[in-house]
Amino acid sequence: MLSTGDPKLPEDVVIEILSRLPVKSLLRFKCVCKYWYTLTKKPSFIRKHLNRENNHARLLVHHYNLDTNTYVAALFPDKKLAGTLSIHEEIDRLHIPMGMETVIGSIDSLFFLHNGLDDNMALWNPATREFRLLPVPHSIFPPYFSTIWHIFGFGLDTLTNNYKFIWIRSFWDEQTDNPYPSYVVALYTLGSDSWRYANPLELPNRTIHNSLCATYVNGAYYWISSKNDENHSVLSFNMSSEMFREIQGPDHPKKTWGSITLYNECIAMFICQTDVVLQSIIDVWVMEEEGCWTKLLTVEPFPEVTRPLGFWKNENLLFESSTSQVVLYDNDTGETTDLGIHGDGTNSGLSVFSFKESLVSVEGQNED
Amino acid sequence: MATTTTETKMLTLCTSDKQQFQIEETIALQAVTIRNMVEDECASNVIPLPNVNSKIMIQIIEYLKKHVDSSVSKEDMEKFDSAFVEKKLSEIFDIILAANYLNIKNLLDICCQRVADVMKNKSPEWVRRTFNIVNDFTAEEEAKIRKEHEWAFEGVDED
Repeated sequence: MLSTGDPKLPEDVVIEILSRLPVKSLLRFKCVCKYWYTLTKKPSFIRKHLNRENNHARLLVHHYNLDTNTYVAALFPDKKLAGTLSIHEEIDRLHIPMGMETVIGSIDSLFFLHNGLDDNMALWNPATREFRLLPVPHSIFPPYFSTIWHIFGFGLDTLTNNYKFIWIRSFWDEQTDNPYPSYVVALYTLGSDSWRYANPLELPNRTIHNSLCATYVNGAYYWISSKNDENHSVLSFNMSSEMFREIQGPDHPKKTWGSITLYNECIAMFICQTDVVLQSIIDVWVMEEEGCWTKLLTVEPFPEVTRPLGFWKNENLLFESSTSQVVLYDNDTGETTDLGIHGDGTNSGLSVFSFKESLVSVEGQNED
Repeated sequence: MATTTTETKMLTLCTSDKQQFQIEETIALQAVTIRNMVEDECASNVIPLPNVNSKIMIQIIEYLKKHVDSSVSKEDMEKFDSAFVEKKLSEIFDIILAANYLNIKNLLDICCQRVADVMKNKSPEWVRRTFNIVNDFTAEEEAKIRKEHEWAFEGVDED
């Protein structure tokens, strides 16, 4: 079918063409020849393919399905979310293995999963459907210590090109009926497939909270921390230096409930002005540089929503409605659109993520 | 590098089949390879392009003429681009080779995107035939690789 007979395209042109293909096509074309197979495993190609211009972010909603009693992920097609009801058939329903109720992501297409019942942890790439169970670190406490709270974070150590996971726990000593006085910090490195314990984190009287999505920016992971649910500040963990840092929160008059997410590749903080999240004015602050906060917008109270879930494409906000539906909120017009996905009414049963597909492997990076 | 004279400066391009094309310099300079030749003054009046034949050159000039026109709206340019790549894949490959040699990045981009769009739902066999690729896997190796991602073979176009 070729008029010239032998197209023999130069290598860089072949790479240019292949980098524009969806993940599914690339996985199918691995068997074309050895060169193409090797290319799909090459970090520089994987990076180029991930960062391609037409790799639009898609909305992934992790929720508890009350009909099937399982956790599932709904992956929306690459279209505007408004008027979504007609495209419902195009939503990919992805199975979440092993009842993982906590999902955090995405960083380079990867999601971190955790199951609180048995502390199983896994790494998941929904695009390649790769799933990898992480080992469980050895326990450092006797059995009468129970976990009160799990905090997670992950990101790429840009110095070693290794993904690292941080697991912060607070413990309760059932023998003395007292909390263990410090947070226990465990670190997992994907390259070496091993856990180690870091120095315990002394943060007296401050509570650390999980973020709404993977709040990883420029080599560091961020969490919101609070004291008696007030005085919100940010705690950061640098993936390379493995150092924690406390960063002042925004200068906000009332700080009764807060959470952090990402906005335009910066840390953004939702702060409610009353302790009833429902019907509260919500202020959104953005940290463009470390410790430097600007108020982005204020959302007037409206009765249909219970809590903010995150941003969508830096334009619209996503909320959980009072009936546990995901709604898209347009701040300019005040209009809301029901996306037709619902949770189980608990905070853990519904979360939203921005997801760009890629070939990034759950096995970690190879050297180029 | 605007010319001070009102007269439009022309360049002559000579293709592999010895056809000559007289085009405005501003149009031709969008091709980085031609620009470098003109800037290095290694080209006299006639610029030889031994890697491009006249059939392809006509199409490339059509593309360059449109893209030099700053009055064309972004929307119209996108329409032009998508109509421009509505060609047989064999022709697109020829344009890709020429655009790669002449270093016209946006033309290369839209042609590569076109190839990707055409091939994304095709079978590995179709891809080997179209790209003239020899399968260097043994049957066992290929079967093993296919098994790794069986779901990626769902919904593939008929060859």
